[in-house]
Amino acid sequence: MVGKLDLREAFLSESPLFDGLGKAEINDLVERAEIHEFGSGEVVVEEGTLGDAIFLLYDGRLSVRTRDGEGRNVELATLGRRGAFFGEIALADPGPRSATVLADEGAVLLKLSLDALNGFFAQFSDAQVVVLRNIARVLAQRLRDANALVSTISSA
Amino acid sequence: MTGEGDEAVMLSTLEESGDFFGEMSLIDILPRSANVYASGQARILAFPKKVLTTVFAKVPRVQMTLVLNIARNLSLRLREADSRIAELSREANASKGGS
Repeated sequence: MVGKLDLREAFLSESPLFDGLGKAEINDLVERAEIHEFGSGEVVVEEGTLGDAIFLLYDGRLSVRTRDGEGRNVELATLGRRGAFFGEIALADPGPRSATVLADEGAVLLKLSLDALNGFFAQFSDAQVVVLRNIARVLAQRLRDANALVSTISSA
Repeated sequence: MTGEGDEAVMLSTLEESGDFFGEMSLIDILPRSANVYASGQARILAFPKKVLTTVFAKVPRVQMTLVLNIARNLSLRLREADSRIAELSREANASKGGS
């Protein structure tokens, strides 16, 4: 069990999502973040539901899945590194979740709801473009990875 | 295209009025990730980074809007790539199962 005090600013300041933010900004985010724990096999977010938060992995392992045309599960990625995050699409492009994320084993996550983030951006207006740019950078990397996977499967 | 000579791989074709490229230079300071050739006559509107930087300094909201649009475009392409992965996996499974 981790308490809010254990979520030192280091955790958030090391996240690529919050790259370039100052100490006061990070501390404010720490205050707004919620801690959620999930048991093995529990669903964190479900494909098709409205995305309203960003999650950062503090501890544990997650798998990202989607369903193919026939309803079979296709694993898209595994998240196991501390600080790994998902749900960031919701901030750039609110809409249904594009994949299901579930805990492979017990997992502790930090949740930043869109409401919390909007409150943060209202207070630190310069931070919004910094975070959006970080999100775009991460999305670009994920797109490159996904395109590489498409080429691999296509040529298999 | 990416790669060189015979190894060049066609990644995509831009042919709609308003198609854009080079937008990642607003996000990352990295070398270009691909070559872009005119395969026919083409007219291109270029926005040098210097000009954009000046506009952004004057009207910060413009930068925010552009970055948000870039992120939206990336997320759309990512969703498309993910459904393509799911589709390809389904096809691979179907052919493996012989059905």
